[in-house]
Amino acid sequence: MSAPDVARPATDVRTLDLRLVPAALAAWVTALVVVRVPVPLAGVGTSLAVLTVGAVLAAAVVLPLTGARRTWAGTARTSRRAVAGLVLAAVAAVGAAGAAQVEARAHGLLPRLVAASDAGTIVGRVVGEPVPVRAAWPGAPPRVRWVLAADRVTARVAGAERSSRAVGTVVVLAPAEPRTRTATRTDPVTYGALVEVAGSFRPTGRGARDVALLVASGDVTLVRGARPWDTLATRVRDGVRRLAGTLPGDAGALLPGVTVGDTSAVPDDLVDAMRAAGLTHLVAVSGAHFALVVALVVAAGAGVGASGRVQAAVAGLVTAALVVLVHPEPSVVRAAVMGGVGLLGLARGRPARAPAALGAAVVVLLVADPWLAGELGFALSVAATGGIVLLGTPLARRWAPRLGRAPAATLAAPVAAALVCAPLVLVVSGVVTPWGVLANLVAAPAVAPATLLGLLAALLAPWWPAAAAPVAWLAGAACWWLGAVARGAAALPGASVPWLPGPAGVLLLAVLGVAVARLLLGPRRVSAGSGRLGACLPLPDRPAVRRVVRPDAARAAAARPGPG
Amino acid sequence: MLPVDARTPDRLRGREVRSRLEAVARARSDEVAPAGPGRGARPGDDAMAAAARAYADAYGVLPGPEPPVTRVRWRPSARTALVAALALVLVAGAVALRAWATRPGEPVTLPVPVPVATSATAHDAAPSPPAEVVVDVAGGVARPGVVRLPAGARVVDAIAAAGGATPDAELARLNLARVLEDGEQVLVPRPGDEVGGGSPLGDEVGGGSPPGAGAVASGSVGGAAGGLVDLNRAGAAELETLPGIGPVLAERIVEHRAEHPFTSVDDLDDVSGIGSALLERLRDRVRV
Repeated sequence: MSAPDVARPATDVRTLDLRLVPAALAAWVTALVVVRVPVPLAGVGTSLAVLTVGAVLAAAVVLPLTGARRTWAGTARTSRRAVAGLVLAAVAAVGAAGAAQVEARAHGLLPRLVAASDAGTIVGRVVGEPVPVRAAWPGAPPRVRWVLAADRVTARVAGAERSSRAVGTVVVLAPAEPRTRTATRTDPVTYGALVEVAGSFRPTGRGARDVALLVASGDVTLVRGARPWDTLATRVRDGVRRLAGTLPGDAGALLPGVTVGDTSAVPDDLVDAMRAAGLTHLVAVSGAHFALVVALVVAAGAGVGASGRVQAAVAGLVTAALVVLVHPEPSVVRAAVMGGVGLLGLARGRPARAPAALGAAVVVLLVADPWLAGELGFALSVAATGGIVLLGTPLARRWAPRLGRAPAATLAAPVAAALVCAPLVLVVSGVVTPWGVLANLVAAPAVAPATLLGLLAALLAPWWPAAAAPVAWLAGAACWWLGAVARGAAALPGASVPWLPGPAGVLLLAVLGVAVARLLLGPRRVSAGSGRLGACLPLPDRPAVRRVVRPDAARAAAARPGPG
Repeated sequence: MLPVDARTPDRLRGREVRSRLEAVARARSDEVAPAGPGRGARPGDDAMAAAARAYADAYGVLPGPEPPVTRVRWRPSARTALVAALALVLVAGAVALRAWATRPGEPVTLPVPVPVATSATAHDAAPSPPAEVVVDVAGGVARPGVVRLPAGARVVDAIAAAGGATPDAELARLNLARVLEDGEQVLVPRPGDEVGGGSPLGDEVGGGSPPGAGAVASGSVGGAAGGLVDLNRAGAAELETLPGIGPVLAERIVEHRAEHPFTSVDDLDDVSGIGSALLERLRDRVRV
């Protein structure tokens, strides 16, 4: 045991900053309502009115508390009314921004075509990698699903060609291998290209992010090529796919997923195994990806003695580059934000700030994109980040004396995330995966090498293929381990336990999670009058056992006859 | 490594050390000025940390006191709330304005590209009727020749513009009320003129007489009916002649069109059991 950091400043120790939690919850509910409930009058006038009324209400709630002391200094007092004011402001902001976005999608030609299930032609930018659709019935013609950000839509309405701009994303169902055909050549559809597709529009469910489903009937015409950065990202991704092709079995299937979130090569049985083992988050781009990479950058920055600002700037740049590389889909942007928040809590040793950052991130994300509120991925992401920040940090601190800081943090993150996410996973899958925590723990050592070495190989591949191959093999070994853990955990008895269905089951699992968390954190000790001292000395919790035992053990070892 | 007595219970030892530390801190706080990192720290804090450091340097690790009490902050100050609310409202306003600025406008009708005019399509393709019509009036009129008339003029106007009918003109064989088409020839029959195969309506046949709308429609039916199956009219038996359509699918098509008549061939895709591949095979063989 080395000397711990006894002299850590007292202020960063145990203040749980939950000031933004009520506002975040209110924002979430508001976003759900805005997206799901059709409001007939939702116009920009309405949304601005909502914003104004909310702002005035918030001000009216907050301001009187300055009371007699109407000075700026007088506003430093905390109060319950300020909580209410903040909640109102969050509701107004999410409501107004959401209503304006929902309303914008009701304009133009596209909603009419969708309502009538009519045919038309759409011009839009490809914003989703083609994903093969599982056959609806045996022998069904293969289809590929990709996503377009609509730009302009044209259709023949009442005998005349009509056209209008369009907003929102459209899911395209096309025959396999969508290709753009120009006069001279055919190319696969690449991410970021502006293309034109004809087909018939179908409505999507209420509250869905996508405006329409387009059943393509015919070729895809390339209008304009991808932007340079997207072309570069495509090149790197192709490099990863090529490298993965040289790796055998699960290693090759998982490498693109672990590095750039490309899961097209993962076979169905491995997907099921990873789901049963609770490892699905490893092959989707999650906050952990960003946290890992940014942590590496920050550590490297600290190693060469860069200042904090330089580190932050470089970390921001690297995050942006990674977002472009794995494609800025809503889930990726959300993961990047959450990864940053989680990192703030766990690695930078600022757990006090992390819940506030998480709350702020939730509110701002929902203002920008209210559809996130209805997505399970967002709920899982927020829950996992919150779990890591609120539960993982104390767990890591508790285990650090015995394991060392880094291993304790590695261990604490999956345990905390699994405990918090289990009820949400139950909602989707209807089963509990008891081996999930264990599988995550066993897989944990391979996650960082797989991701980081995979990314390194991806960056090397287009420019220095000779060096990329061995790195890819190392990353592949880590991926093989992930696949083996997934298959092993899925094959264990009781890998997927049916659980009490419905809200009762979710509640039961949540209570169970809280109980386990309390058990892991140990009995809650209330310091009797020595809070200040305790706050000054964030010391290991139970070093005494070891220290008491150690002399005994030494004595026993001394008493034992030596082996020689 | 530590001067720890194995007999001392953990808790007791912790308390003992703490009290020793506090004593050291009190002693230090008297002599050490409370300078350094302030942040509202009490004078004892720095001394406390210094004492802890000194102890740790001497003995490695401090025995554990209770973990620090967790203080939960729920309430923001009014100032924080105001600043945060203002920032939120600004961000939300920016998002709302952007959504409003980029929302799609009303659909506009695209100008129809004029195809290369053929005699059959010139009429259809004309985006708007010309302001005047030019017709050739021949036969039993006073001044046969080309006349210009406002659009919408009728045969009787054309005859008047050509100086009126000659006394022997058999006007009864003409439909004098017919609207003139641009570029046609109006042939006013005289006794002995045998035009149009004796049909009483077809006698003003000129060289470039345009076919009427009916003629176009019947022509397209006549030309295409041989190959194409009408999705809305064909019976189940006729549908079964199509490749890939058996009795079951034919029945489904009939059921589907009873509720949703086909407006385009693409609508076939809605019929359950017909996917895009089959649709592509059928596309050239069916019509609506």
